[in-house]
Amino acid sequence: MSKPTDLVQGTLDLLLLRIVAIEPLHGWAIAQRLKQVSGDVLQVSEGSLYPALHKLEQQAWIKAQWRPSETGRQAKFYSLTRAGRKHLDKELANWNRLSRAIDLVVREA
Amino acid sequence: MRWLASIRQRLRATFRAAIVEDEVALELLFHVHRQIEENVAAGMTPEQARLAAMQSIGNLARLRQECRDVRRMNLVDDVRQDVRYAIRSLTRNPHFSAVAILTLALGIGANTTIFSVINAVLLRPLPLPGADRLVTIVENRPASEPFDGRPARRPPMPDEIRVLQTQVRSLDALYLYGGAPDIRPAGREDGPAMLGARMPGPAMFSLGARPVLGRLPDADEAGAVVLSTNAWRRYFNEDRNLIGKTLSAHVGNVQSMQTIQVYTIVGVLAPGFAFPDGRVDYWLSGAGPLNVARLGERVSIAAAAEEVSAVLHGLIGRSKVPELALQGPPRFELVPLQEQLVARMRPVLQLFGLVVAVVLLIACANVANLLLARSTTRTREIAVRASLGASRGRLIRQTLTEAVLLAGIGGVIGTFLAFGGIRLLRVLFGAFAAPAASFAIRQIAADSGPGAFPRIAEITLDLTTFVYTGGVCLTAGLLFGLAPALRQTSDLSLSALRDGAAGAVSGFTLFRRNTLRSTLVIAQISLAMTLLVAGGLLLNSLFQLLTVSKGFDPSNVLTFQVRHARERQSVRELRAFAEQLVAQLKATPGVVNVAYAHDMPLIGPAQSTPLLLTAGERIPDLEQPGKSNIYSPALRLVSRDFFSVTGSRLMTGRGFSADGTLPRTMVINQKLARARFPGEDPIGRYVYLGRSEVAGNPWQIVGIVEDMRQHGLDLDPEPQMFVDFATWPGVRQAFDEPNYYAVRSSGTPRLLIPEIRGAVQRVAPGATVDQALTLDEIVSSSVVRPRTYAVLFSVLAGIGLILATIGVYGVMTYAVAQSTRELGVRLALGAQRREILTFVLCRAGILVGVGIATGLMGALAATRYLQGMLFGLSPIDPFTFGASALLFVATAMLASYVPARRAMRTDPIVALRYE
Repeated sequence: MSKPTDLVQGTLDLLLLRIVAIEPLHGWAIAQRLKQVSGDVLQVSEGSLYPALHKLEQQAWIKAQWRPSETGRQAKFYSLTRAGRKHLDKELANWNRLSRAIDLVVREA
Repeated sequence: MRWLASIRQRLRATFRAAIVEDEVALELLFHVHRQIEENVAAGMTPEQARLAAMQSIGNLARLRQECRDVRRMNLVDDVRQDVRYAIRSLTRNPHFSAVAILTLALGIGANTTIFSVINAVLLRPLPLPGADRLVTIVENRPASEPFDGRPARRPPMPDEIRVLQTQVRSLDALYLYGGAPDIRPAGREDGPAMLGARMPGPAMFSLGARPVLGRLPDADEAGAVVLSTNAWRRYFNEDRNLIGKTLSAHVGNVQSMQTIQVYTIVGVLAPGFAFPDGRVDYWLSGAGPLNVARLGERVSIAAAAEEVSAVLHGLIGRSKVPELALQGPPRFELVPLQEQLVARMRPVLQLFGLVVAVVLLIACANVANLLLARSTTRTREIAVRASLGASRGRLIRQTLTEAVLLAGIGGVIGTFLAFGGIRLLRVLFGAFAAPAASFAIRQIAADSGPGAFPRIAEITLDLTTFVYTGGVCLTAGLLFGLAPALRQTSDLSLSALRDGAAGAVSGFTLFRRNTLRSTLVIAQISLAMTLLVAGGLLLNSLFQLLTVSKGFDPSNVLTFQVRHARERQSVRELRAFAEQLVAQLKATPGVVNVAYAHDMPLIGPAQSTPLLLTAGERIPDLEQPGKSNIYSPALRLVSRDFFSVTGSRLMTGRGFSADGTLPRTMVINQKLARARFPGEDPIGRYVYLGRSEVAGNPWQIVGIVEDMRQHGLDLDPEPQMFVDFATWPGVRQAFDEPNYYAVRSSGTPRLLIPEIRGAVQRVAPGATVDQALTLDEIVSSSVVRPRTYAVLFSVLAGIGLILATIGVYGVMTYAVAQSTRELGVRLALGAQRREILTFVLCRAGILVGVGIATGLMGALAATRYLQGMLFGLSPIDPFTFGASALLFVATAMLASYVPARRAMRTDPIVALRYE
């Protein structure tokens, strides 16, 4: 699986933000957490994950810090910035609205 | 501050690329290792685990590339794309671009020009080795006076310096330097003089002088001269056998005391040595009255000043000059050499720096307005781009790129304009100075002549200037680009996409829909108005200065001095020579009259003598400093025809009698008559002059002459009395000798110089004519500063006026175009064309009126800072204010008239079809 074609365009950012909002995580753990929380439904490849993380960092929604991982090796941990938290709230609201709308259409039509 | 963090990230990715790359590599490596561990934990063999992990992550290099792209490459790409887009959009609107670029070029060119002066004079270190550690010791009396670079401050006496040289440890070296006499090499007696400076040989070495031929003078060697490369070339044709040859110099300004000294040329210096000034042709070994010191390594200027001050205060008790004690103890200070040289230029250059900044602001307002006007027509385009996915930030950046590009092109053209500006400045600063008048070190601090503008020859466009210009372009671009950028991206909704040209259907208004534009124009007008008033004041002041009653008529008068071949001629011989020369010259065709005097108007120091009304009158001991001394007026010894030659009018009484048969007569000036003889007629009065050889006998006042401005056109005339040389009994002092000659001619006075040379040669073979200057040139040289400042300021104010006029024109044209439909409707409904014209002009009048009113108020507040530069004029001179306002109204209304006419000519049919 290369690109998560089943993910709605732009949703990966939302998922990543949501995951690092709980606690700072490194890239590998983010991928694991995504898989785990979605019950193995959503999987993201490294080829999409890392560019997406770097883009979010570049946009200053998330920030990174090098520190020892659970295995003792140095890893890059991502966490939300204050602006990122606001952004996440906004995106979540948008998502809720959109998904409700889609839900309605799908059920009514 | 998310965008700040974001920019920091981008910058880091661009400029710390290696570190960022390493981080990406490490991060991905960690991922692989973690996956291997996970795989092993799930039961794979290490080899299987590694393969699986590698397979999962795929092409590592490509992944790294993708991560890099996200961070860095799109910045560069975006910029390239923005620039390409900006160029396209600028070439699509050539008129807009041309006006904007030209406006900016004027503003930036003015800034670059003035900055190049500031850079050369104030910022760039002196071209001497270790120039930042060179200082000079000055003495401030009274102690509270701050150092301002004027020459009035007394430098320490030579004996004090000698003590300093031995006792002060914080100075590595301390040298005395000064001026040296002008020298005309043999065979070139009529040509320009070589200008000299005097300092010890070791001082020359320490300040960077290196011989290319011969050697430097030794420490105590007397009469040794080294030449500049330039002088070697100009005066001696690069003669390599010059070493050991001699030069003779006439030393002393007073002829009866003048000696001829012979100096030996010991070397020629490599080019580049320019101490104390780039104009020096030769350096003579010896000491002078000025000092230069080199601070020791790691010694602060304050610490050194403290030590010097302590030593000098210890010496003060031994001072033999009582009048200095009156002002209390002085304050000694160490001043950087550069500061001493340029301190007087600083406030002026700061003023001009401010003025060009204002001009640039006006230019920026202009371009902002143009961009705003255009942004309305681009609403649709912007809306399309936004709906295709461009973010607001991206659109703002696009507009800013366009603005900075405009500023950049303007900057390049402005730099070319600056080359012209610098040429103009050189002419202004240089050409008005008297042609190579006598050079003395004191002229470095003089108010007129070549010393008026220190370091002006060093003005160039160098790297610092280019960096500055670049900075100005960037700042200007952001400044005038920001408002339009924010404005035109404020409404990215679909409605904008639908009716993109909505602006074109509104009514004529300058304030409701065009508030920002109108405010900008008003700001422009008021800034330009303030500049115009200030420039007008300086011009008016210069006019007052040039038309002030001088007390003499400078046209068609040539003044000169005579340099005699023999030294120490007696006063009697000199007077006999003067009489013979006058007789010779009077017979020359083209000569109207000839006179000689001890000094000329605007040249020469005052020599004062007590004037007693009765033989035993007591004179008050001290007078208020600064007041002209009516008890000891200036005594001027002149020849009979002096007033006729200078064109000074006798107010009452008569001049000196032609045959000298009436001895002991004197002429006084009006000032003295009013001050010493209030309410009475001094004609016929007998007075006594307080000099020993003449004190016993009375002098009769026979005439009153108009007041001559002796020390400067801006200085009030002093009380003066005039006595005919022929009746003056004293022949002992230098003061008693003729020093200057003046010839009134019927034609161009300079054409007489060969005749005068001939006459001087005939009367005294070997004597030469020196310092031949017309009175006009002397007057011109005395106003070099006010003239330079007035011209420069007026040019800048003129640029401001032009830019503001373009601004008015632009906004009016835009408002008319915007309301074509409304005007059409009005015309169709029967409005008279004249009414339309009046309507539009009235609106423009309100705009211009508000701007001018604020500008005048600004000028009222600002011009008082010009007070010191104004002569015979109050800083709120109503005439200047009124005339400047009128000029502005006229130009601005002319600029509005063109669009108003276009409004008047609107064809109703076309206008209604306009949509």
